[in-house]
Amino acid sequence: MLLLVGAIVLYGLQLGKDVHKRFSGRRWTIPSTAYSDSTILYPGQAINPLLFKNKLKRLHYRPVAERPQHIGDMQLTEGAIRIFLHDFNKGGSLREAFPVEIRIDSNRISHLKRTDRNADLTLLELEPEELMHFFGLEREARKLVAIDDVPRHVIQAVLSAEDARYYDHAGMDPRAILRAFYTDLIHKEFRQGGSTITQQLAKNYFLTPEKTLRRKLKELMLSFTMEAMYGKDEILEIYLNEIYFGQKGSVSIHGIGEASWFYFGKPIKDVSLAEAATLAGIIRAPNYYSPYTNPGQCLARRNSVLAAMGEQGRISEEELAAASAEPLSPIPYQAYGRQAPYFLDFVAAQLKTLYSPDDLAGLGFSIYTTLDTQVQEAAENAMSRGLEEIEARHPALKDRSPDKRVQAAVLVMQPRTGYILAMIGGQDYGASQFNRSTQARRQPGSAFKPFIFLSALDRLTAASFLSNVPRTYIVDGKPWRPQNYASIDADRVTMRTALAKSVNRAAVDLAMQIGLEKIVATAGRFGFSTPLAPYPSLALGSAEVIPLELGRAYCALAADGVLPQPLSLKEVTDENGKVLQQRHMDIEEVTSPGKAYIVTSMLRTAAEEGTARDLRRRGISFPVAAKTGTTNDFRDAWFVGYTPDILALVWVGLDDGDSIKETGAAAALPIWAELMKAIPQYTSGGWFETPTEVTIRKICPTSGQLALPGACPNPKDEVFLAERVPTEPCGLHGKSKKPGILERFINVFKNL
Amino acid sequence: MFSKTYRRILLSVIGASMLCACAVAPGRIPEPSATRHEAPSPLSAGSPKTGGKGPPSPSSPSAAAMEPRVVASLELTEQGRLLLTAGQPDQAIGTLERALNLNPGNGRACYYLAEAWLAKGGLRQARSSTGWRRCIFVTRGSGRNGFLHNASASKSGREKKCRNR
Repeated sequence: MLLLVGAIVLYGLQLGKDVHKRFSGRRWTIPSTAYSDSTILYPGQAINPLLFKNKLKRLHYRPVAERPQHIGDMQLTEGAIRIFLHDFNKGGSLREAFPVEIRIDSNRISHLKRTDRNADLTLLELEPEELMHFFGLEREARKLVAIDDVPRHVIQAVLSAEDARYYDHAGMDPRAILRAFYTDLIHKEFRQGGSTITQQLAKNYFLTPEKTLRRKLKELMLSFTMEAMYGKDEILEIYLNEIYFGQKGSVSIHGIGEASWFYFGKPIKDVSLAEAATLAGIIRAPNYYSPYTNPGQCLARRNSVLAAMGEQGRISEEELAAASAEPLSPIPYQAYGRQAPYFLDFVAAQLKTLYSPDDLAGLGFSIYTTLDTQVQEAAENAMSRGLEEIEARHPALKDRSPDKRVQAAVLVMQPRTGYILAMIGGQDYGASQFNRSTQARRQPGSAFKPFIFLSALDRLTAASFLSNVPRTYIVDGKPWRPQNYASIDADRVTMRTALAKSVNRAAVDLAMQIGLEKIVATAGRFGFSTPLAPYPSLALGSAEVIPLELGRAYCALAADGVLPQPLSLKEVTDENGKVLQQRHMDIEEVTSPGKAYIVTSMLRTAAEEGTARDLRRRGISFPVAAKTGTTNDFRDAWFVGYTPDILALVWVGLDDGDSIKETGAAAALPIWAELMKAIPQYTSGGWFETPTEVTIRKICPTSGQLALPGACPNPKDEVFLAERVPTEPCGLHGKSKKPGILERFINVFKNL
Repeated sequence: MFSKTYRRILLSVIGASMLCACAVAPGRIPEPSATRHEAPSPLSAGSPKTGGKGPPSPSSPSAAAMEPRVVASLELTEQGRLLLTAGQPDQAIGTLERALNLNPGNGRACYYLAEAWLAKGGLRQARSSTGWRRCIFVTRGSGRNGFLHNASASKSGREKKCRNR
């Protein structure tokens, strides 16, 4: 007997070691989560109501018919959206939930009000959106909760459902076992288990699921050991975080913290009594009692938990009646999607240089990015529609095998800071994970020309003339004769016209005038990392570039000559909110604001009168600087357009280099226009401030010299760098009466 | 060379004087009304007056005086300033970047970005944060310290020096 007791004690000690080892270290692997950027709202802001409402749904706001009374409620009406915001942990400080009203008039926020205080708001920040979880092999989702943060009614519901005498037993409840045995005997089948919460935890944590007497004895020993080593609250906290709550696709939901978000879209501290009883009821058989797959059984189970709570005196009769009368109200089922998959791959590649896959899958980091999910959705919609239209125009493209279909890359950036708001790397991530935004190398065609024209601004001006005469160049001993895409009769064109109308002969003439090495040097400053061979065809964009680098280079044109590093990963925090990594905008001046402004001005002419003029027909009414690009045999179609606030690049092509049979203006421009129309919050209609080093002069378009008032027909305003302002009056229209020095001096002032 | 306290006082004085100077020097650090142009230029937008043949040029700054995005950007700038004052430069930088995204012409945001970077000892970033705003520039002090300058009050040699850097 003594030996038996000794053996049991020794066995208990051994189990104690195991329990201590398991509980003292890290108890769970928590997948890291990637988030979008937060969303800023303010009165006067234009919005796309459809995309905005989609965002609110993804943020787990639950549509209700009445004014929101509970955290996470959202009422959508004709002229207003009322939301009871979630808590928002921003930079380590908590913004507690409060109700707001967003009044919308003509797709514009007319009013923001905090309704509990009847206070107008000038700015409102919505919490970031979950984009993906970095799951490990076990694919478990879990949000940890502390026992102190779990409301009393939730604990009461769990105890009523699973272990009514939890606080009174020492790990095993003989009365519960006898009752379960009796129930099973009556019904001649296994209907009820008598396991306590501690036993369930022992089973989940340490044991395999087989039902043998030996395993049952071990479970009991473990339960006693755990009860001896830890307090009741601590065991209950571990249980609440451990227990299985159902399935979300291939991912299993563990812990009541994750379950309350999954089923009700809110943290556990905010669930109602009825919701608490639903969650407690689910524990017994999560997939059978799921409100999504078996709402009738779920409701019955919830009410039986509520009834048990009533019987045990844990809730009043009124509470029981009120909660039992409530309908089941889970949020709409949302599978774990993978939004913006190419963008997240881009972010994940950066994370892999900082953390191991095991750390990402297990340490519960929060990863904050620059993504704007409304812009991403707009970009995806625009791309899908654009590619469908291309394939409809060219059925042969549609007939190609799935891995050879037309592809697209779309990038949306904020030029001043380099924030990447959206990224698409291909038509279908499932079919191909190759990110054409960041990994493809394609010829940019005429989309490269702005950097050639910018290189020339040290010597020439937007009013300088370039040759449009057909000319043969000898390249590597072979003749090469650049052709214009569209016929232009004039023998010479201004720089402005050459860029706006993408005149190839003039571009090559310009490149040869200024020197190819200078263009290569400019490209290097603008961040192109791909080799750019100094051939004359460089002027026509024959050297391959990476779309992200091209978009980034255009950012410098849109940001006073300052080149930003593309920013996608902003911050990584650990599970306690401690900042581990932080990345900020990183910019470098690569050209003067004046030169950037002049090229931008010429690209605005391209959007209004040149190759991108179709924008207006497609509903773009605000000022834009834009450039198209098309490569030989229509292999690549490009469109880059920007305002001071936003820049988007679109590429369309085929991976194998076959022709898509369309130009940048036909294939890529419509996608750009569709995208921009869907994100009015980024298109204020503003234009660039004229830098101090830029001067405007009225010139004669025929001579490119200062216009003579009354003599030169159709004088035009032109922008010049201060040091390149023309001083000579028009020599063509002033020939009959050459002005004297005094008259020329007066003309200069007249033309100011 | 200078103590940290002295540097902070100097920064505050320079900052305050700079903001005052900016208020009287539109086009340098623009006030809200001068940062953006609400409507496209009549010249460049193709108004009947010129037949749309002219190059883009700015419209009257006063038209943008109450543009909502400018107001929101300034609100974020103030949040950034308060974070900086509270000794949270990293959080301040993130907020000020959002302010710049809302209004890329927000000179105040640039100023406080530079100050936040100086608070972190990031002289290079402080310089790059302001380099394109010709009225603000940063010079090297001792060690990792730097000084924030305002050149808007006069077209002094300091501004030229800043451009050449």
